[in-house]
Amino acid sequence: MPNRRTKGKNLLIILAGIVLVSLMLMTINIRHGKSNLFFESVVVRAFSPVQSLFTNAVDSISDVFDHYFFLVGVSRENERLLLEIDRLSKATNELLEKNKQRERIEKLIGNVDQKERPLVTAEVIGRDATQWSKMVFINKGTNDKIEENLAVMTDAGIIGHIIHASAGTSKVLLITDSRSAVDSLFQETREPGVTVGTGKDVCEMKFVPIEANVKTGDRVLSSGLGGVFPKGLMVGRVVDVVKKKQGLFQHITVAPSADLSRLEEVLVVLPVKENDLVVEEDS
Amino acid sequence: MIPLIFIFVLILLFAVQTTFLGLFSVGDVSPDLALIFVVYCGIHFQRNGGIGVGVLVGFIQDCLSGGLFGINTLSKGLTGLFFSALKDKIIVEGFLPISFFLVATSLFDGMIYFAAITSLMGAQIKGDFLFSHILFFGIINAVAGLFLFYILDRGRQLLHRKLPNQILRPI
Repeated sequence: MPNRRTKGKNLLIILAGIVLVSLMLMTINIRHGKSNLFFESVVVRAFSPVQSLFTNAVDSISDVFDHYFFLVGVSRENERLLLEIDRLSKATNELLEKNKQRERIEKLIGNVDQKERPLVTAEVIGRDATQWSKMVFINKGTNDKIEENLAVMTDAGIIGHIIHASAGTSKVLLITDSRSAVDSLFQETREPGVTVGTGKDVCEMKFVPIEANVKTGDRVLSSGLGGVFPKGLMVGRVVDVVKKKQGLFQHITVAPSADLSRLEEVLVVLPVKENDLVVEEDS
Repeated sequence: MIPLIFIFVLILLFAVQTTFLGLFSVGDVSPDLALIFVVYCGIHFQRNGGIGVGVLVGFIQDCLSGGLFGINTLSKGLTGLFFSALKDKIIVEGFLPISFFLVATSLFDGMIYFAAITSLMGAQIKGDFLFSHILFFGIINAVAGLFLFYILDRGRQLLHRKLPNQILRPI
């Protein structure tokens, strides 16, 4: 009987220990905000070579499937693509004309164009180890001037921002994560709102007034407010709009423009340093 | 030798979890191999070994996740503690008990996570999504868990044959 009591007491001590250690870790995490935790960097660094190895192996296997086994319909696809190239060439010409016109107008009104931000290309080497958080690992870190709170995008648009950067690896919190928020606006109407993650594969645009004219297919861009995402980057498209009679805001669902389930290469938007701007303006 | 094998299994487990397991996800939900592993170790480690495994696995999962740090250490540690303490008192062998405990543990894991991020980090999650997502997560874990339990059982059997030890319970 005393043995059982001692065992029960030991288990209670262990239980208290687990709760205490976890609470301590959570407190450190919340108090440090998004800054690096030493042990986090160590574990991420230890696992990144294995992740790279696995990702490369999977890529090689899927490459074999893509190039040798899925060739059915390639001829038809080729014809379709040739037509698409013709169409795109015309569109490119029109855009070039418009671009030149824009440059001339900007010269006239003396508007100095914002300097293009430097980009770093990185490969996605892993995904979140839990089911609940939407995060990916990339193979670039502080060695490549990557730091926290930098925007990450693909050619299709924003995918998220850096939440943790160690020497050779970084963590990117995706815009679909329930803790993510991007200050946005609609391209056509310029109506502002905040695109927040839902934990699913779509986002929600919040705080859009009920009287705003929003329809399915509208493009959502980053507004540049908040300091993380530069202005004008594509966030997604509206896929559903619900206007409730009682309520101040619309319920808008936005599908991210980038395919977040098939990320391979991404671009990290580096900050423009004040010094760089001064040097370039001088020259 | 056994700790080395354990580390190897752990690395393999997390490498699979963070790389290509997403390819086999159903409805954007993929199994949590770490959770299944902790339940397995809680049941099959001698004495209170499952508790240590739970805390260690949870801690590594926290490091490899974008969520609130410490939340997996808590949930996996408690899972390890639960099974280490009660493995001799409840039926933990067989198809149905394993499935039941995996679903229950998944629900517990999900509830802890969402309770923490909504209360501590102010995230907003809809109730219907939360419930359906966690329930589906539990079912996926139960299915994947039976498969993983089978593989781990075979490994444990082989280990006892080659390296008789007092760390794992014999089959």
